Amino acid sequence: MGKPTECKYCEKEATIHLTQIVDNKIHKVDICEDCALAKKMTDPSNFTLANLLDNIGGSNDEIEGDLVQCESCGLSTTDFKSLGRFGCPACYESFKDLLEPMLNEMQKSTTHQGKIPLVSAQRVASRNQIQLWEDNLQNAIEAERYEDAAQWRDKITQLKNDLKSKV
Amino acid sequence: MIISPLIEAEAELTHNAKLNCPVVLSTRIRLARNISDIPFPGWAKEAQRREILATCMESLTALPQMEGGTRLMVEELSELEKQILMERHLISRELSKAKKGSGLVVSKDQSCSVMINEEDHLRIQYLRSGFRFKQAWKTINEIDSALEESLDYAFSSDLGYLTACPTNVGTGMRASAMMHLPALVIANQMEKVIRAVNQLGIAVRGVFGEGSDASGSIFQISNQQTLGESEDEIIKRLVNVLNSVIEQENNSRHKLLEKDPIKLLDKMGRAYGLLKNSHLLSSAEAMNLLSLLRLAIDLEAIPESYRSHIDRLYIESRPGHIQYAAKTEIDPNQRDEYRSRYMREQLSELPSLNFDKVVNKS
Repeated sequence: MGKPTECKYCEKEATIHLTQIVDNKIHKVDICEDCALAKKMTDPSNFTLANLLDNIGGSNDEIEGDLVQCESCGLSTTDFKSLGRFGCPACYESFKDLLEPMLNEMQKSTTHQGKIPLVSAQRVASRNQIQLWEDNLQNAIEAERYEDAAQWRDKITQLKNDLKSKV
Repeated sequence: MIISPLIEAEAELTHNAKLNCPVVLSTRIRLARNISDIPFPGWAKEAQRREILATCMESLTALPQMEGGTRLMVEELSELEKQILMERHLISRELSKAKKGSGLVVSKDQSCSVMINEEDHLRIQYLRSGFRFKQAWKTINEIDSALEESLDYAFSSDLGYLTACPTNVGTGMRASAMMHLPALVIANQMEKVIRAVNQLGIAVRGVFGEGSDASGSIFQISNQQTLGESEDEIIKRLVNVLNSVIEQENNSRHKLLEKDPIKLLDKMGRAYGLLKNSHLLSSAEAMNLLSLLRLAIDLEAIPESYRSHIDRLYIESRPGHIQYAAKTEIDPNQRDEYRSRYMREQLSELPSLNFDKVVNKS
């Protein structure tokens, strides 16, 4: 077997040797048990991610310039690189640029082809609609356009009733 | 122990023998889901995690599929209880190490288990013995849709279900089967099979996480990618690969019986002898011996009626289960003694191996 290999992340002996072939590209990692657990590489799918994270960013100078922080939860690029996980659903938007090459490498494509949570999606869409109309109602009242305001109010009431009757 | 009722109960993996079959031990589908507008468990504050836990528990226990089920708070469980839940494939190692505010809901027959605040807010898992992807997808899809009635999932029309780790984004689905591949292991063909299967975007790992040197020749084969294909397409692709692996295992068995039948018969005979007569059995050795007995059943050297018994023993011979059965705290050496005694008792009625049909097969 040759001389024992060193763990990629620390100096301990590597006891786990991962090889993964995706689309004819070979990724190899030698890692010790502790780092494997810390980097969550005990699952083959996470191994791909961790390996990719190391390859993204290049030199430290590049990282400085490209530092992004999620507005919603405060997760930074550095946090993401060390955890391998996002902080909240909004991170997918905040880290869009970082995400695209990763998804190209790891997944079949970058567009969802599967199940859509129709009920949940509809509920969110209705909520957003009501919010928009309530803003319009408020604006109309402030501008003293009372006829318009009444229309918005009726629309809101109608939609709210529709939603109630569906439950 | 809090989980005693779970262990004593008749569970899907231990007591549902109806559709058990050779090579494919069990079918599993797991869906990762998160609530919108709140941080993922690893980044959320404890108060947020508790809020998510409470909301999810409420929605889950209201489901008809969870009637008569069990609710558990991970922080209230002992290390032994967590070990046992892992051995029964109800929780992951990650959940057993989770921070405060994590929970688990398990259905009455233990076919459906939902982890709360593991890597994602919800990890819904559905298990079935045997090879049953169509039914498993139908059932877990219904559970997911039912949950969606009361929970707002984090979802984007481009990227699908949003998960803490981008390796799960999209369908959030990991479909897998536990496969029993003793002939491929004996013939040293596993590395070749694993490489071929990797090329197709399918992953292979040892069942209890020990890399490709699986105890009992059991391997978990699953899809790697979750985005860019529909759930049906993913399952179809996985099933094709599984069918190919089943064929390869069966071919390997035929080859072994043709080339050197006596060697194989000897292995099975020795396994039978050891399980019925030894006084010290480690869990690794027990798994390997049980694997050979399962092969003997497949080759009709032991009656088919014993299959569910063997499959149950795979789980009951694990360290946590043995410790539980022993009632008092025992060290690994005592566990090995207890395990061997348990095997002798459980297999006391096992008839002698009858190789008439096996010899005729080759």
